[in-house]
Amino acid sequence: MSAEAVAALVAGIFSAMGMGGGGIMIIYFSLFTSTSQILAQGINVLIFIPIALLSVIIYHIKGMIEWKIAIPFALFGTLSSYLGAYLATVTDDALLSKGFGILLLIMGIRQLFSSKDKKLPKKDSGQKFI
Amino acid sequence: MKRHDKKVSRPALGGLITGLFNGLLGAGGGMIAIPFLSKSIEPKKAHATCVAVILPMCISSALSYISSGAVSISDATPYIAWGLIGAVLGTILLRKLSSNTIKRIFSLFMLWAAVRLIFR
Repeated sequence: MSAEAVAALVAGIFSAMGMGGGGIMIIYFSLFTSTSQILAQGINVLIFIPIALLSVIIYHIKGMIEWKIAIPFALFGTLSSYLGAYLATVTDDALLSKGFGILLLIMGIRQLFSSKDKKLPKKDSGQKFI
Repeated sequence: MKRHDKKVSRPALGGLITGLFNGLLGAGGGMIAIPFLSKSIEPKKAHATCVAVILPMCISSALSYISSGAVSISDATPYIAWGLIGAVLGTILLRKLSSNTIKRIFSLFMLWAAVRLIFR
């Protein structure tokens, strides 16, 4: 198996798990190829589409997608991503990345050390999807 | 009435903030979407729902990448077959792993993304 196959396979696994597998392709491109950053990001976005489509079909069959929440979330998200893309052209990119990075750092540390189970609707907890 | 409003507005607010970050940084929306979705959905379903939520945002960024000429579909084709096999494995793993393990792996990803963003 080539490095490109391993990278795509692992990216597929983490993308399908909703873990942001994109970072894996970016690392592959920067370590093993001389692909430009913008092309790497473009390829990354493109390969997520078939991966996500297949995953969504599988999760839907297994009853794991809360469409009532997903639809308004996706609708408002897609609209505001245009606003975000516009704002990105008028704000300082480096500062933005650092700010977001610090936010994720705090959230990640909190989540890593958070108590085992949060209060969730009882009927949902511990359910298995096999 | 009020309860109904709350139910509708929370995903909408989560979507707005997720989309804003996704648009600003070009990616990373999932990292923001998961904490929002986890407020009302249990972890496994939150991750599955996250993929559905990020997909349309990703399609709109893909369209802008393609229209700007930064990437073409043929650049991505060599990776798609392996990516799809990975997707099948990923959906199986998400169902098999415990919610707690998923939370731990995700928090490590968050920290990794944080370090990458701070030092990029």
